[in-house]
Amino acid sequence: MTDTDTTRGQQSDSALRDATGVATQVIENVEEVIVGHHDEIEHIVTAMLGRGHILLEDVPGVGKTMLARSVAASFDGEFKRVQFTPDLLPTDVTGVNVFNQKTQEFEFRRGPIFGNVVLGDEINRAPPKTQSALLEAMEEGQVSVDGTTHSVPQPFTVIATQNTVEQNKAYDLPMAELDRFMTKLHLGYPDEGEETAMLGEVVGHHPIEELKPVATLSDLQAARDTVADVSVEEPIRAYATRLARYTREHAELGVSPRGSISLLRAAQARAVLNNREYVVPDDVQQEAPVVLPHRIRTDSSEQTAADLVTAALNTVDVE
Amino acid sequence: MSVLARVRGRLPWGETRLLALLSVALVLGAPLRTMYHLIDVVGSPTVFLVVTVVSLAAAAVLARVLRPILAIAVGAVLFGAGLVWYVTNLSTDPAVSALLRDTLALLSGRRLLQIANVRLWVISFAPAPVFLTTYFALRRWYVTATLAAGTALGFFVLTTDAGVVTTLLGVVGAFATIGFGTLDTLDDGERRTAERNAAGPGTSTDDEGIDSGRRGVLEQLAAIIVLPAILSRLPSVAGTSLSFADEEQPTVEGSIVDADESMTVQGDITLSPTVRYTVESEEARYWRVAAYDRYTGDGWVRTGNDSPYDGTRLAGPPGDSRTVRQSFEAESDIGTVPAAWKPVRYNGDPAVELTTHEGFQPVGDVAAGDSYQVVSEVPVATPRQLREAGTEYPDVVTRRYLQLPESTPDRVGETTATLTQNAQNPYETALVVERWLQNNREYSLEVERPERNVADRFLHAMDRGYCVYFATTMVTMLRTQGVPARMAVGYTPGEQVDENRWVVRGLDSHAWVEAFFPGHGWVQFDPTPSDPREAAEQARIEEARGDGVESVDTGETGNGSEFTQTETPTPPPLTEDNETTTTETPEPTNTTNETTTPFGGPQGDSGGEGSSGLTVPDLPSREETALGLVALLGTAAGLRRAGVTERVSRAIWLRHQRRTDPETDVERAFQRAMYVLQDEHRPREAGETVRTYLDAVDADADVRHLATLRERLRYGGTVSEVAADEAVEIADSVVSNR
Repeated sequence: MTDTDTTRGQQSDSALRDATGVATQVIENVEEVIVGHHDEIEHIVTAMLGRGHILLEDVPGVGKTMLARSVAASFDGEFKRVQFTPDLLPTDVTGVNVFNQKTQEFEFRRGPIFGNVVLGDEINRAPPKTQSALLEAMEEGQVSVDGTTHSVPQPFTVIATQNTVEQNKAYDLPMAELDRFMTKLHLGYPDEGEETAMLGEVVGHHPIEELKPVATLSDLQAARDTVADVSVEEPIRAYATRLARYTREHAELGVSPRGSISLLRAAQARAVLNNREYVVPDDVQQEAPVVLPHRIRTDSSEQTAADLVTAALNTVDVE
Repeated sequence: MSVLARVRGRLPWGETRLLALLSVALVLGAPLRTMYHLIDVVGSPTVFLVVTVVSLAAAAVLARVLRPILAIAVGAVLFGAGLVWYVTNLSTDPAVSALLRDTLALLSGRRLLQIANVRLWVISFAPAPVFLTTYFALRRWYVTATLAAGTALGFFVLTTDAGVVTTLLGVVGAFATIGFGTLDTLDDGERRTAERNAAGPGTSTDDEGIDSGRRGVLEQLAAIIVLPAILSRLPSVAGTSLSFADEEQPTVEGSIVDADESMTVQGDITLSPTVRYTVESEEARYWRVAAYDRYTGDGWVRTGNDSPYDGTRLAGPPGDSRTVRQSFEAESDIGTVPAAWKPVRYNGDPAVELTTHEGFQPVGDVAAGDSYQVVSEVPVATPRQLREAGTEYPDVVTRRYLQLPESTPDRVGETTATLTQNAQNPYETALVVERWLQNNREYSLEVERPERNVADRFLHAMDRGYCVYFATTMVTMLRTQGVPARMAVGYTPGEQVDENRWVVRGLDSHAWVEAFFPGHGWVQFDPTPSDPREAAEQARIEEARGDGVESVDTGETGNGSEFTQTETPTPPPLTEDNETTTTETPEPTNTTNETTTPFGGPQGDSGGEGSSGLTVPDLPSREETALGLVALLGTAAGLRRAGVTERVSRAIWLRHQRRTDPETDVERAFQRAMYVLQDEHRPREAGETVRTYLDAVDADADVRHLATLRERLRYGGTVSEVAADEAVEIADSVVSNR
């Protein structure tokens, strides 16, 4: 968490401007490819700036992968993609030690997890063991293979997608692991106009092929540092706490402290996106609907987690 | 404040209990104060105070050990012992039936002050209620405590000894005791429950309940005090028993002659022009109605009981006397039978009793047309005889007619002593005092009634008054010099309509002084300056005639009368002298010169201290202050509950922003603007951020800017003087534009 006392005022305006610029450029760049979904793109960018990982959940064919790829392509870093399948092994994700005949030694062959932006497609189709390999990398920033740990490159962001159609054949992520994702987004179908426009763009030459990176990895790293320096004053922290406590009081499983941390980090990124060096309640309110619901299990089937978060936002005093 | 806090910290009682005990003190204070006043009128209060303190202490000690039933027994024993002690110590030996009759009379409005030995009575009566009240208050039986003190107070209310304000104070105390007491009992019960359950937190809501309960009690108290006061101002209520304010000015007659066994010195007063009696007499006298012996500081009381009159001839005055026969005919319904001093035989329609001052008092009312005849023996002692009468006063006389309230300031005696230092004997003393008052105080019916000792105020502070003031002061002055004196009331001779015929009107009512001289009895003095009094009376008669009031005249009075020139009769010489009236003229020669001299200095010539313009207005009495305080507190609590204080302070808060530091300034400027917005649109909802709210109410750019400034301060931690200036400016304009 940001130590506001020491960093307040140190933040130069230019750093903030740069960070905001990076975010805006990436968003505009992605929107070259993706029609509609402006909010979701913003959420993905704020999650990346807030050092978080993103889970996209929806029916197949609404452009989850395309979105993830577009975001990844906007940076000049290494982009990796893993298609999760039921027979995927953990080592298929992390990499494996291979015996080198020449050197007579085992050497580590890095798996697809070693990228700056890793797209994990349909992670709920893979068995838990494989999923946890990915999740370890997300949480720890490292992978362990045969007792040796290997750090993943930084910056490191996982954008995972999840199918909601084949529920019974899928390995749904447990709550504890969902918690590792900063935001969980639903794309939904584009509206009629957007869909028509999209179809017009993609028949023939798909625009993603022409997408150029607009930000370097160091830009991203600098923006992340700027975000980390955004001040979160006591009233905001108290507000986040009140929201979390509200969910705990009204659901079987509420938002954990880790959830609150994620919320504030996302809010910091949102503040930067709005070119502000401090978080206001509005930032929190904008991020809460994508940061909180997947950490909540409601006690009734009528009220979804999203409903509960909406209720919390409407009920809890801002201050 | 710290001292207060320390004291508070040492007290073992909770706040509610403290309030309840203070209320008990108030309710007990009312009868105690009344008793103190009773004692004060007749002598030193030391014994009474000791008795009270001992009872209090005993109750405080026994409250810890004694069971309630035993305490009631102790109270009953105290009461019974007091009763026995009182009866056995009475100098007279009254029959039980007489005692019972007295008690009944007391309960039906007879003043305790009329009891001869009121001191004994109070001392024997005081311990029981004091003990019981204190005991039960300390044991938290507040209702019982109130009952004990309230009974005592109620008794004094019935005897009309407790003043209005004292009574109200007691009633307020009673209500407060029951209110706070109930709260305290609840409080205590809860605490005990809590202790028993060893329960920890969660008492905050109860505290709130207690607090609002306290405020409720206060509000009700305020209502008790304030409502009647307001009601009495309503035209429909004024003048009824609810009304505190005596809107109608009393008449001189109403206040002195009609006063029954006690009279209170009034303030402003008017003259009644109605004809009361027609008198046929051999000579003009003061027609005396009654006399008073006990001076209370603000009024007069006649002690003792009336005795039946069997129609026989009474003893005349001890010295030489002349017989004067009078025949009275009442011209209007009235309750008195005046007669020249000293009446010895009465014969007439209305049945009469004999007062302790050997005057006649009708048993019932006297109807218009009733007539009666009185034979009086008028004392005719010469000044020389009176001068030589000496000071061998009988005990009966000194015991009754030298009484002064203990609270009478010493300066009354000192002033009188200075005035009369050249007087060789009581007669000269009386003459000097009489003459001095006539010369140095003006006659006026418009008087602001003094709060405390009337005589002292009239002697030292006031410069004008009417007969009651003059007479009261003279009696007091004489008594300080050891001259037995009493207050006499009645009528001046009235308008002479024929050689032996006088018409007496209400405005002829008068008060004067009787001083006792051994061997001669009671001799009349009149310290009231007669000329201005008669002028005032005459003016009133003419005014009434001008108004066409019929009762002003009989067939004999008015312009046609051959005695018109004596319409304002000169009062008869007070000490009539067969030999010559000229003896009076040289009499003052040796005194008048000296009388004025000692007073040229300290007293001022005729105005006295009061006319110097430096007099402090009379402060409200302690009781009134206490009542006012309770009323104020309760009103404050009520206003607070009604939200008035909040609204007022909110309005002030909204309009005036005092600058402090930038943070506070910005925050407050923002709150002010938000308050205005809330007023104009709607309050910000829970979960609604400022930005959302401003969007929703479509706030203008200035307000948004203010919100940003405040946002920067609150969430960004940055603020500057400039920002503060800007913020306050915006808030000011928002407030003034709304």
